[in-house]
Amino acid sequence: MTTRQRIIEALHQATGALDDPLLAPKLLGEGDVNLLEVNADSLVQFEFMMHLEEAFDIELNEDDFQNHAMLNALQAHIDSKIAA
Amino acid sequence: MSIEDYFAPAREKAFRKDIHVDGSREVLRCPALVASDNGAENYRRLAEHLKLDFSQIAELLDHLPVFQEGEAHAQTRAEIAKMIAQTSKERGTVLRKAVSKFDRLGQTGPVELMQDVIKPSVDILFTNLIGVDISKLDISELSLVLTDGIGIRQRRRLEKQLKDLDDALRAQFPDASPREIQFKKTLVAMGHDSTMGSAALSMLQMIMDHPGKTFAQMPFPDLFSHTGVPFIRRTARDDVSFAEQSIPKGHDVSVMLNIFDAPSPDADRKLIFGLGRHVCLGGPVSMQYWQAVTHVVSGIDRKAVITQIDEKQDTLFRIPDTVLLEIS
Repeated sequence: MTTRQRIIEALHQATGALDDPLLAPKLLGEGDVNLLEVNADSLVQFEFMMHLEEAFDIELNEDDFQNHAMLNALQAHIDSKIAA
Repeated sequence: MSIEDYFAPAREKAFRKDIHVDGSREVLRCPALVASDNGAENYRRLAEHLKLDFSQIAELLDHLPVFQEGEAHAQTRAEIAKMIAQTSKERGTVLRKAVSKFDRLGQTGPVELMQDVIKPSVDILFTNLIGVDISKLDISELSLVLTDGIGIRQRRRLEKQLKDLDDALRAQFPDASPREIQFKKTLVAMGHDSTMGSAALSMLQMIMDHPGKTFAQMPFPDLFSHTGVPFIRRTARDDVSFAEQSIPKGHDVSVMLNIFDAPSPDADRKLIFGLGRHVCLGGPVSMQYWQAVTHVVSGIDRKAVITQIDEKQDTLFRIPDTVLLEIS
């Protein structure tokens, strides 16, 4: 699985994003997606963070999400954390 | 050279959504600025949602006096003050033992100031305050209890560190009340890293201000020159204004305490401990500690060159993670 696919899987686990008929095509396509489009309250955002931390064996915080709200940016950020 | 060259600006430590206000007597005494929400309920909701245990964190937040007002606040402060006072008889012996760790600065060669000197020294002070040897416990993330932006892994580590401390305290004091145990944890969470930070920053600034001088030639002040607690948080109970800043009722405020760092005069510098009903309960002990430190270091005829400083991340306190010194 690519980093993008694992992020989307974590997002789906927390929010069910792939069940959203408007959001799913964007996530499954190759374009960039604003993760703020996902309708998630703070508890769900924390759940997304938890799934990402587990999936990639890294530590994240709220700044990581605020500074990387686009999927491609978050993917690059996670890749850099893994490489570090 | 200044410590500001090595640390993120204090305002970046403060909560982004807050209104940031420079500390002053007027601000610190303002009755309209009251304790902010303690965040315990957020932790309980998060625990329920994620099926994780954050009970230690939530309970500690419920017992921190900085988040309390009124009768409950007064009662908490009285109990913690009594707890601190009960250790005062041994303070002289404990301080001598604690500051003996600074003798390391009298030996030539490289030294890591935080882990080799300041942490073991502050550990001795807080071991005396709470009655459990904290040098054997990992308390490195306890100050994160005040940080609301950390991730889940860090929260789980924080919960574990609090649980381990709780277990050690209950084993040592089987007859202690739950409140006593919580207040001992409060002392460590609020005091340990903030004391380390204040001591480290004040020591660093002194070295930076006096290049080429020995410790014995440095004019160490009786007060910390810099605080490891760059701000405190309050909530506006009513609309309130300071100078040209208007704070609407209900808004959270980060009151910047680093404004009192040197070169502010001593009378203002004391305000790094706050003022009024929320003044720092551990302030007098930490000042005694700093004065004992400077007494020892002032007798060391060695020079120190700073070769590396790394800031500790995520904590709201301003504290170095690593400080490498070359002693000659």
